[in-house]
Order: sequence, then C-alpha cells, then structure tokens
Amino acid sequence: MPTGPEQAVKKLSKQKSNTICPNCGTHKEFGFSSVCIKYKTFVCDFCKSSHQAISHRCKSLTMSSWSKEEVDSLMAKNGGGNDACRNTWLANAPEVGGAYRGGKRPKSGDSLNTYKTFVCDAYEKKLFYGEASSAPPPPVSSIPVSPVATNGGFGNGNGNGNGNGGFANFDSKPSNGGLGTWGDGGLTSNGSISNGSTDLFNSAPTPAAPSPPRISPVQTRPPVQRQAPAPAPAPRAPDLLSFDAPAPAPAANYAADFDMFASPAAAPAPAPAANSGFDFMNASSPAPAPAPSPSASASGFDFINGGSGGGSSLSQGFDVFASAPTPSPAAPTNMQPMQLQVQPPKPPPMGGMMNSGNSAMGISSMGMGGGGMGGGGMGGGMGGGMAMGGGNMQQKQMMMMRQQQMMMQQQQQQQMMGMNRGMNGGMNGMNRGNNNMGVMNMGGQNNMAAMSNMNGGGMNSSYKGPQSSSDPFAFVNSSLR
Amino acid sequence: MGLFVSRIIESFSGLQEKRLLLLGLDAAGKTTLLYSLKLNECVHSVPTVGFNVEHITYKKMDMTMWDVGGQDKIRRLWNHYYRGTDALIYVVDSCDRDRMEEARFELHKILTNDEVKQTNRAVLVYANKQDLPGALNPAEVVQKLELNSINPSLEWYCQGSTATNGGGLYEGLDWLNNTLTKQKSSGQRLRF
Repeated sequence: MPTGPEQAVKKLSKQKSNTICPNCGTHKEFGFSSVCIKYKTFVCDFCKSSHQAISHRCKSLTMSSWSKEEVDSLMAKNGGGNDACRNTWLANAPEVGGAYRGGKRPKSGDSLNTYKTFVCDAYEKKLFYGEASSAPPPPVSSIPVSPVATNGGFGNGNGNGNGNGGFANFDSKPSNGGLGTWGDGGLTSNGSISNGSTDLFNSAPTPAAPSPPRISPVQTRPPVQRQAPAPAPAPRAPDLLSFDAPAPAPAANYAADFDMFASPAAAPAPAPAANSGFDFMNASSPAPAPAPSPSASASGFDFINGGSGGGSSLSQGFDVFASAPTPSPAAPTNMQPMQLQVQPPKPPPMGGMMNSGNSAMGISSMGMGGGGMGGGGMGGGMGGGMAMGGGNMQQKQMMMMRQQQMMMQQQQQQQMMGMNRGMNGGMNGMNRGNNNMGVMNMGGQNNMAAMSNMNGGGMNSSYKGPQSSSDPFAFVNSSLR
Repeated sequence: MGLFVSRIIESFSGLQEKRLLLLGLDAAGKTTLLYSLKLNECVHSVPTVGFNVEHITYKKMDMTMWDVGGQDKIRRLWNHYYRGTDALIYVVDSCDRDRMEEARFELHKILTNDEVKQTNRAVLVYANKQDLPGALNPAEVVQKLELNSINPSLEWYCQGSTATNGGGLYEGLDWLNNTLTKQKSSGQRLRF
C-alpha cells in the first residue's frame, strides 16, 4: 500500500542517475532498494552496508516509512540524488576501481572491506570532497556530535579541513593519529588487526603502513591476545587528564578527528607526529606511525586508562566509562559523552583499577573489553602483547601507577563530579564483571587504552554497587547516584 | 512423555533451552550479531525481511535466537514473536544518536507488552558498534534508553559490543546465562 511519498521515492530511485551507485558505479536497472539518508544517495547493497557500518542512516525503500519531506530532499533540485553526491563528496575521487592513496575505489565484486574503507574515506574523511557550484551545503557530519567542530570540518570545502583541535569531524587531512578506531582493535586475537591498518579513520597518509585499512570483519572471540609488532613506541604525551595524548604534533594535525573525548590540548608533546592519537575508542590503533618516542609517556596519565606509562598499560577495568577522560580545561573538544567515570565500586586493593576485579582478565571477558579497544591503543606501539593474561602483572604495575593516580584523582574528582551527575545509578555496575581490559603495553607507551573499554563494560541493573564516598576510587560512583 | 523425558535429561545435564528474541531498530546490527555468534564471522547482511533463527549453544545454554527485522514498517510484526520468550536481547546502534529516542520508545513498548511480561525475565542490551568513533558508551546508552525506569523486577544489563568482530558478545551471553540460571535455581522449578 504504497502511499504518496513512497511511490515518489520509488520513482526517484529509477531515475537514470540514481540507478548507478555513486560509490562503486554498480548499475541496477530498476533502482536500488536503499537510500543513504545522510548523503541522500541511492546505493547498492554493499555500499549500504558500508554506510550502515559507520552509522550513516540508511533506509529501505520498501520496509521503511517515508515522509514527503524526506522524499523531497532526495530530489536533484533539492540537492539530493546520486549526481549531487558525485559532484561534491566524490568530486575528486578516482575512477571506479581506481586506486587512491590509501585505498581503492570499489567496483562491483570487490570485498566489503574495500567498500567500507572507501566510504569512510570519502564521507568521513572527505578525501574526495569538492565544492560543486550547485552543490548544496553539505550535511554536517553527525557522528561526532560536536558542537565544537568549527574549525575543522567542513568549512573548507575541499577536503582540507583540518580540524585543529577540536573535533573536527572526521575530516580529512591526513592526520595521524586520529581515530583509529573502527577497526577493531581489539579483539583480535593476534593483534594483527589492530595495527594501523584498521583504522579507517585514520587518515591515509600515515607514514607507515600504507596498507589499506581493513576492517577486519572476522575477528572473533574474545580471548585475545594481541601482539603487535610494535614498530616503535609511539610518542606519548604526558597529558594528564586526558586519554591519550594527542600530542599536538606539528605535522600531525591531529585533527582530532575524533577526539571526542580527548583533550587534544593537553600536552604539547615534543613528539613528532603523534600517533597515538586518540584512538578514539581505543579501538584501534592508530598507530601506523612508527614514531619513536623517546619518552615513555608520562605515565600516569591515562590514569584511568590504565595507563601505561610505566610500561604497561592496563586499561583495566575501567572500562567503559571509566576511563575518564577528563576534560582538560583547555580542551576544546566536547567531551561530554564520555565523561563518566565510573569506577568500580569497590576497588580492589591494588589498583583501584581493576574492576571487579581481577576478574578482569579472568573472565572471558576479554572480549572486547580489554582487548577490544584497548587494543587499539596498542597498536602503535605495543610491544608485546600480553593480552590478558594475568592479573598479577597488572597489579604490580598498577601499584606503580597508583600514586600518580591518586593525585590525579583529586583533580579529576573535581572535574568529574559535575559531569557525572545525572548518570544513572545503574552505572555503577558497569565495569563489573567483564571488563577487562587489560591491555598491557609492554612497549612503554601507552596508547590509550582508555576508553576502550567500551566494550567491556556493561552495566548491570542488579548490581548496585556499594559506594563509599571515602574511598578515593569510588568517588565517581557516589556522584552518580 | 517424550517431553517429560527430555526435561529429566535436561535437568541432569544442565542444558537449558532458551528462547531469545533479538530486537532493535534497523541497522542496529542484529543479524550481524546473530551470525557473528553463530559462525564467528562477519556476514554481509542485507536488511532482514521476516526473521532469521539460529540455534546457538554456549555454556550449557541452548539458545534459539530469533532475529526479527527492525525496519520501521515491519516492526509491527514483532509482537508475533513475543510469546514464550525467555529473554530479550535488544541491540542498539550506539553511534546513532539521532535515533536513540526511537530505540528507547521501541524498547519500552516491547517491555510493556503483556506477552513479554509473562515470560521474559531478562533484558540484555547490546550497545553495538562500539568500534566506531563517537559511539555512546554503555553508560550513556543506559541513560538514553532509560533502562533505570523499567520494571525493577526485570534484570537488565547493557553490554558494549562490536558485532563485526565479536567483541563483547560473549560477555553479554555470560551475563544472560548467569542470570537465567540463577533465576531458575531460585524459584523457578522445572515445569513439567
């Protein structure tokens, strides 16, 4: 019972220009069945999957409801449709099937990873963005959600937006560091994935490892052990609060691509291109760059992350939220989202970090948790991966860090308190269990492990953690309640 | 009689058979998650029309997972799958901030359904796509979905996951396993 708008959208999909997928040139006589809402394009199944993989909303022609406004926006006169996309987002893209620096434009029959890489490069990093005279203003990239985006992004039109600082969207420019995410940092079992290749978001020209990003689809289960070949320790900045330190390296523009949370500013690191970047989620390792890092990071930091400084980073438990990226004052980025620091309700004796314990590792959890994203971090420099092994090592290291942490907490506490309000009580539970995270970097650096945790943590309704306010580690929790 | 025997066997072997329902908005990653569990690999899925069903055995829990398409037009079909569900697995695309409200709405709608209330004992929320930059972390997802406001007698858990590489999935299942087992031992006896 197709109603007005739905018939209209079907008709649009059959227009000549819309029967050719903008990304890969696949032609489908009777029109594609999916529309990428964000970029207003009619795309083939593979491109649809690629868009969806990075959360670009796609709708089906047949199984979704359409409103008149949505359909209107897809019309060429309103800046929608595949031609408009080809003239803007893909203006500077190579021919279908052609290679570009860091990847290849997919053509029919290529693997899904090729598609994903390209879609990410084209739409998130805007590598091929060009201003067309008639082009409507490009949509603002939503993923990052940052109000702060200002510099970056879009403004520049041609792809150059470098985000300085802030958050710039995914923007272009070859920044190193940026996000490494996607890929997965994690879980993989041998780490292989996590190396630079994965990060899609990182932009291309990374000095090292030109290898095309892979998304690593298959990685499977948790127990992870990663070992990264670790080229060289990545430079770390001493940033205090934040996660990783995206060091403002001269060249690196860090773009902060994702930094959502990170405070870019934190420390001016002397390091050459910092790679470690942010890894947003820690997930992957950004680190294609072999940057030598002279100093092991200051360690302490990452505090929550499990820092690494000392050589190993454990991101233990903190998972998820735990990691507290505390907003550093200077940071332009908006950190909000992650601000939560949730700490384990009851810190185990050693480091407060382990959440619930030791379990951390123990539990199968590895899965993501630790590894997960943490892995990412590792990428850069990880030396050896310990993967999750044993709790003991971590504990030792934790001790070392502990002092620093204590100090940090004081600071953080103040900052965090405000932010956490509002969180749900449920959060306390997070971390519990599974989290693990332990990523150890042997290399001495840490790349972020921080957020990584994302995965790890969960929150549990049933668990209402005890929180003692006197416990330094617990403070967060109490504020959450 | 056959059923009786199988129940007996079940009670000794400890194998529990559970019916799980996998729901969520479209493109949340339900099908990918299902096949990631089943096959340990990332499949390239197309929008699910109708449903996918798979049997997965994990730690003595024999699960039948029903993955139902989440496109808005076919969401109304969800209620046909509600009956007899032991637990709900709700998948959320953590990056899709714009549709969190929609996800919340759908979740609460499911949980207030009478059939669901009869048998459903746990809700596992996967905050999926944690590998993407900008993803909401599980804590934020909890907040956005207002999980704290759901019926307190229902156990829930929010687990970050990355369906494409399997990250976090088993942690969630571990919780589910523990929860259902615990509930079974405390109170709910075998139903012959």
